[in-house]
Amino acid sequence: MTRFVVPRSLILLAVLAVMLTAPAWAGELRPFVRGSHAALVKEYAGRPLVIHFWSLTCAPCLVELPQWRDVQRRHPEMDLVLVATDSPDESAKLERTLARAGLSGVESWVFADSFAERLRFEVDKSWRGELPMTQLVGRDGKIEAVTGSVTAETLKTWLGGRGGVKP
Amino acid sequence: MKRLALALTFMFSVSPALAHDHAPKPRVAVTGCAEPILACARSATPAFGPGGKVWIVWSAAGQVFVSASQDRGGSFAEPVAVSEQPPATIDDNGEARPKLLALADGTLVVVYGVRVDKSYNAVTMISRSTDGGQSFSTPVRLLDEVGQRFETLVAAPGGRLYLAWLDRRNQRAAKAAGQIYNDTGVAVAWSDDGGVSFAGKRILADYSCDCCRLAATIDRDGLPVYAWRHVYGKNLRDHAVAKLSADGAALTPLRVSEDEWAIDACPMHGPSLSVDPAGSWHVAWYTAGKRRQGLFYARSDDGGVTFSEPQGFGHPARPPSRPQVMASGEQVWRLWKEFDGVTTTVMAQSSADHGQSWDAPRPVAATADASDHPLLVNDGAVPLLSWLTRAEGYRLLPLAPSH
Repeated sequence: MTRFVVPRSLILLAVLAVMLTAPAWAGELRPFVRGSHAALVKEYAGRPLVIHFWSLTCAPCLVELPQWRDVQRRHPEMDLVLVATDSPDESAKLERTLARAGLSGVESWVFADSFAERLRFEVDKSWRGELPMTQLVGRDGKIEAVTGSVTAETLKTWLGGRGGVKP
Repeated sequence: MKRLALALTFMFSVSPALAHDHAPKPRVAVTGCAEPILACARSATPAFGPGGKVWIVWSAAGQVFVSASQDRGGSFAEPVAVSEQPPATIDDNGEARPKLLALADGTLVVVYGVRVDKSYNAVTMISRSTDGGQSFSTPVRLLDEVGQRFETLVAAPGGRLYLAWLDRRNQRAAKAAGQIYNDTGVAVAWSDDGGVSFAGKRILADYSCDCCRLAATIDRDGLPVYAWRHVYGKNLRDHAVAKLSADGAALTPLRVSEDEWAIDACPMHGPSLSVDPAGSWHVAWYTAGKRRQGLFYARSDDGGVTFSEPQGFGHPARPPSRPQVMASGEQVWRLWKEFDGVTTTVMAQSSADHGQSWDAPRPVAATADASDHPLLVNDGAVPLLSWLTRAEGYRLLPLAPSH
């Protein structure tokens, strides 16, 4: 049996090639911790951003989830970020669910602090954890919260109005 | 697009930091507390027996455990596993939680849900101990069908046990028939042999919100009363109470208040219910409805037909949550959680006039880390706060009125 020795530089090149061709977040869940929300809002400032909070434990969320794939396709002018309020322990399940919904390529986060009150408070002081909850972050940085499913009409109106308004 | 650089902690496994203008974000690693110890539990629920004996039931590492205390919750003996089965997905998020009832003859009855699929369908399991919690019977399923959640177990003075739960049998049947039905039923069963066997097991009320806990108590005549977040019309998730008819055949929902919370979502925030010695029903709940938002309390003196105007409570700037209400002798108590951005505080207040007026809210306990829902319980003598917190562990604290 012949053993092939692959030069280390080739492995590195292969890794780099994969990283450059696929979005950095593909299939990866990122830990949503203290400060993550403010950092997200800052990172995407200047473009309409939708932050959608969902959970494996929420039946309406699972029904709504696949619709976000179509929303993203219809509205390339808007950024979409998904945040699961489950725990990193559920990563495998979350990734499977996202893949089934066709959302593997969307930037996804998962609550990674068991002190969920603190994370929710940073997101929205009045949020007790109802799901689904969606934040529409306008170009001007103003945040509107929608509890329950977001209709295509709501999103269109927002993008055509406050969400799309340049600061 | 610029990437977000996050502080890396020991919790996260990190991709190699290659020379790349798009620095990879830290990848989430499994961080779970997976040991069969109370420190890994998300919830703990107490039960009280004669002689000051206290037990708590909790789940960790896919198992359900009971710990006994001889000193009113000051210390607990080694936990006893309710089941020796392979680890299961115990339905335990604080809203759903294993429960324990200590019967007058010393028998302990444990009920808990095991989730059997990704759609949060669970089966209710029952186990008993007749040796004071030193050993438990092999848990048995309440029903062959799946789709039970939020089971409650209460004992009537005559010894009959009432088990009620939210039941998805109708939903599953509708789905199988190609129909859409997203809500849940409320089902009731009863046992006259201390939880060995149950009769009834039928869905008696329909259209409950399916992610909020069911509240249960016993009325003065020994029949159970329930409160739950109902679904009125298309999606108004306001609260209902209902008392089981004497023949166990009917459970008619009566509306507590018209909050008009129209929402296609899971609030995961159920109500609390108590009956006082004069026969008044006290209900506490959370809503974000069109007409009112926050925590509310109302009382009915006529068996749920009419309710007092809802009273708001809790500090609006510290999103109050997880309300509990309990009549204790001549007092009525309510408690809840508040969070100021750093500290979670359990607040309590009491009423000496059947809930018409209340003394000043005051802090009972606090934590600066994750915590279970606070529970308002009674050990037969005094009202207590039962609370499991990540940093402090389990606490059982007596409440004393300020007046």
